[in-house]
Amino acid sequence: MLLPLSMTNSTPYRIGVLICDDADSLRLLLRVVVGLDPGLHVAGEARNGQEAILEAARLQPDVILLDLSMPVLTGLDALPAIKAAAPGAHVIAFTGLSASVVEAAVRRAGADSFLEKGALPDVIAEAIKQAFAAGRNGDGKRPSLAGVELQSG
Amino acid sequence: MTQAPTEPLVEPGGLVATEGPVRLRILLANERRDRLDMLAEVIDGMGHQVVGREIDVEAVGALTARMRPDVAIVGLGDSSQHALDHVAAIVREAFCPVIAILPTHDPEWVAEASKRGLYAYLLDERPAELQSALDITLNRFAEYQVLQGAFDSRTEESVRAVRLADARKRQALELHEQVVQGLVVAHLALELGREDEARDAIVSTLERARAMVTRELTELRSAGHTLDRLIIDAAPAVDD
Repeated sequence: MLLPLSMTNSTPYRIGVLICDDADSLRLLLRVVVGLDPGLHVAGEARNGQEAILEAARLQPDVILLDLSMPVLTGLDALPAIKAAAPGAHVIAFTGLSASVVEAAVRRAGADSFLEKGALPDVIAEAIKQAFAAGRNGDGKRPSLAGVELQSG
Repeated sequence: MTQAPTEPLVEPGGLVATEGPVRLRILLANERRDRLDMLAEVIDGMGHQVVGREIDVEAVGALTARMRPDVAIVGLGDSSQHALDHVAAIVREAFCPVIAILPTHDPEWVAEASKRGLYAYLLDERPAELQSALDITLNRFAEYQVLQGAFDSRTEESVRAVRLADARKRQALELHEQVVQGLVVAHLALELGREDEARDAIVSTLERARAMVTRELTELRSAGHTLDRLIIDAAPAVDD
C-alpha cells in the first residue's frame, strides 16, 4: 500500500478533515471538536455542495464531513462529484434527518458512512477516526495527503 | 329550441361561456350549398355560432385545426364505403367531435361509422325533424361539454390541492431543518462548554421558527382559514 511519507515513519499522523456545512455556527463548533482531538486537524471548510467539490479536489482530505441540506448544491447532489474529485477521501454524511429515512439514499450516492447531527463531540471525533481507518484498511483506499504530521511537543 | 344567448365571453377554441345556455361554436361542411345554408340558418336560430362553412367535406379535418370549433357537422351525400372512409379521415384529422348528417337511415353504416369514431349522426330525410334532432343532439353535446369542463376544473383543483400540500410539506421540512440545526448547534455548544453560543443558537432558532410559522399562518388566514381553527390545529395531538 502506498502511504504518505508521514505514515512511513514513527511520526503520528493527523487525519485531515474537510467540514462542509452551510451553518457558520456549526462549522465553528465542528472546528473546535476536530481541534480538540490531537489525531485530527481541519483541512478546510465548505459552505455548500459546490464549494465542497472544489475544496475536496484541492485539499484531498482524508475525511469529509458532509451536511446534506445545503444551498446552491446539496450535499446529496454533490456526493458523486466529491467522490470523483477526492477518491481517497472517506465521506461521512452528516445530517439532521433520521438515518432510517436517508441513509440508503446517501450510501447509493457514494457516502461511506452516516452520522446523525446531535452526536456528542467525542462520538463525532471517533466517527472520523473510524472512517479514516476503514478507508485505510477496509477497501484498499489509501489515506490522502491532507493529513499532517503531529507537531511534537 | 335553445334560447339565443348573449355575446360570447371567451376566445375561439373553447366553449363559449354565456350567462344563459351554452353556445357552441360549430363548423359546417356539406357538398350541397343549399343544405349548408339551411343548416347554418337552423343552427344560428338555436343560438349557436357557425364559425365556418365548407362545401369540400375533405377539408373539414384541416379546417377544424384552424377554426377550433366545439363540434363539426358534416353532411354526407350517401352512406357508401366512400362516405365511411370520409368519416374515418375526418375523425382522424379533426380536433373536435364530428356529427354526420345522412340522407337515409342505414344501421349497418352507422355501426361502422361509430367504430371509426363518429360522435353522432342525424338524418335529413325530413327537414322539420332534422331541426329538432339537431337541437337535441347539440343540447346533449353542450351538456356533455359542460360536464367535461366541470370535470377538467375539478381535476385542475385536485392538481392545485396536491401542489399546495407538497408546498406545505416542504415548509414543514424547512422548519424541521431549521429547528434541528439550531438544536444541534446549541447541544454541541453546551457539550463544548460554550454556553453563550448555545444560548445564541436557541434564540436565533426560535426567531427563525417563529417567522416561518407566522408566514405560514398568514398564508393560511389569507386562504380563508379562521384563527380559531388554526389554533386548534396547531395544538399538540392528545395521546390515547
